[in-house]
Amino acid sequence: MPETLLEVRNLTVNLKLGNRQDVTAVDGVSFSLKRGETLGIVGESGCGKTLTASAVIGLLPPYTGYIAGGEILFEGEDLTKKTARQMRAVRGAKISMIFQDPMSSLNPVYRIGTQMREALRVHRDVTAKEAREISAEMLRKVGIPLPETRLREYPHQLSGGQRQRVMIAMSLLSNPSLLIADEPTSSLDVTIQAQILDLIRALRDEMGMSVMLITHDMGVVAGNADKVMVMYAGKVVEYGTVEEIFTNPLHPYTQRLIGSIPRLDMDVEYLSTIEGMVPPLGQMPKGCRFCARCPLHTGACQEQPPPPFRIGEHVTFCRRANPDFRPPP
Amino acid sequence: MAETVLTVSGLKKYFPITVSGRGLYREKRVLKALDGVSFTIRKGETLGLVGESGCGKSTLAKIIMRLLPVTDGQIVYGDTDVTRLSTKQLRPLRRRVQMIFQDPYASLNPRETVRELLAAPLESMELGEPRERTVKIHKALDSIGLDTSFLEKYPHEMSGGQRQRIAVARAMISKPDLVVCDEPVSALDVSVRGQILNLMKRLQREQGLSYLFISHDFGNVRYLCDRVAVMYLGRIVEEGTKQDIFDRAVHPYTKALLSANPVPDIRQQGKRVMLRGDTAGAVYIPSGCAFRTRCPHATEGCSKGGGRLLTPLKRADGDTHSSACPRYPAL
Repeated sequence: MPETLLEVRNLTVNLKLGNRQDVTAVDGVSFSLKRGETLGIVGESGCGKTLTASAVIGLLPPYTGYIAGGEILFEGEDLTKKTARQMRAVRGAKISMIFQDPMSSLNPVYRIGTQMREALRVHRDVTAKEAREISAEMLRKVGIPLPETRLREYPHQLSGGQRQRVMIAMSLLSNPSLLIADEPTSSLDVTIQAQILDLIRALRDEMGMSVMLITHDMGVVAGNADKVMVMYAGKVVEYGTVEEIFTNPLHPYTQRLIGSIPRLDMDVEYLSTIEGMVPPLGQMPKGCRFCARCPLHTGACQEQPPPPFRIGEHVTFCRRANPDFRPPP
Repeated sequence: MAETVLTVSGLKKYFPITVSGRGLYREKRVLKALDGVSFTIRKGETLGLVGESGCGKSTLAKIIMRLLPVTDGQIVYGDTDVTRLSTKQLRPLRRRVQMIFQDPYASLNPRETVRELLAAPLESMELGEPRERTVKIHKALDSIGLDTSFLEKYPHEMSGGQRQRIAVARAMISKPDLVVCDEPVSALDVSVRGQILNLMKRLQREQGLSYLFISHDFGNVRYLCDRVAVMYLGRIVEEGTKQDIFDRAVHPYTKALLSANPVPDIRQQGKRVMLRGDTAGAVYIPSGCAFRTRCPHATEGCSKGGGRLLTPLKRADGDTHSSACPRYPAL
């Protein structure tokens, strides 16, 4: 049994909105991640998936986002208790992150080599020559041809897929134990997406790291994650192994999210859809947050937040998932 | 055979660009965004156009709309050749071909209300008296599932899905024969995509219109399209019915695209055809078959020939399944 690398308990993230009252964007999120495992976090925009990851790496939007409660236990230490200075020793060294758009996360006016050297020197004492050798080796590892030439080039001289490879190489320089990939392939073409996802998986196995894969694409999750956490409006609605989530989804939101994707292998007349919209932040209903869009909801769903329903490790927050549930007459 | 609403033949669009240097030392090249594209769309039919970024999909949409001048080739709406028509001559024909863009945040004027947005096409095309226009606007709103309370709303007061519904209604209000849809759901959230695709399918059934549906998502294409054309670097490399493309694709590029598409099903994580590298870019297009630099089956012979679309199969129902693969039918 591999040991647990990261355990998040009851994490709550608030956002400050000018003069108005703070809103809760991530509400009581708990999950754990073992070494060498990939956790897929799925949800639509605004569901809190990126904020959850930003809280783990300590990159919440400055002055607006803050952790209002809960614990983030990473290798046994609570990251929420660390000072900004202490977090800098963790970020980039033990936890790295790659973002959706590689062009805006690379600095356009510095050469690739300069940027990689900077990332390396923050955590390790190396000479310029050593830095160049380590960087070139890492670029080769992520499948970039002629790495020595690439080091002298600028980001605009690379294609989108190559830039994302550079980002991955940079994030792996310090041999992190956790890689957070926030929509790493959403701005790339499908053939390049397949290459990048394969690369992340291969590097995870080779280096024994854990991956948090954040995406809105159920297809990406199905092919790449071991565990899946589905989020909706700031809360976890379902958590389980990838097999459980795709063969026996228990939450109506998960079921419809899977059902609303057009299939490649069959013709369908009409797609199942989720009518309505996500409730806006700060105006969350007191009961189940999916209630207003859920075809199965009952009176109890509107009044009380749903209790967890567990089958082994598979958890869902839906009353109707429990076969013992009887709607009141 | 149903009448055709759009025929394009031998479309070419070249952009002269400077690849390096300045003044006397600059090196000029030609970017071939489209290099001989031909197809027809029949009444009531949806043609899906798939390909990766930079393959010329959006350029093609703009050319068909006559938003960009064409380098060579012919565009025919119904039976009217519009390739060389002046803007003024084109005006009465605009009603017949409309467009939906990818991003409804950018395509709707933020300073106009829904009423103004929907009235604009009627006014500029001089369709109906003012009173009839109001009726038409109400009908259009109703058909996209929004009520009249939306009439005085501005785009920023609506969600992405509602905005895209308005863009759909605006394209449909002049009762066009053909709607060119350039990635109409890519900017939307997953749960909303289904709503818009369902809406587009329903409106097509009700009004008998045709779509040119441009997308990089094969799932969406399978759902909405009757025929599919696959583009690579400015050329169509395979074209056929939905079944031809999804169940019996012959071109290696189509096969690779299909296998790279993530499937939301853990029982079907099959072996992927992993392509080497990325597209060559439309400035330095490889000779012969443009795909040969990434193709797992390329041989020396693939560098020869023009890479034109070949039609290996012609069936009794008039549909054709064509592939530009130089090694067909060996593969």
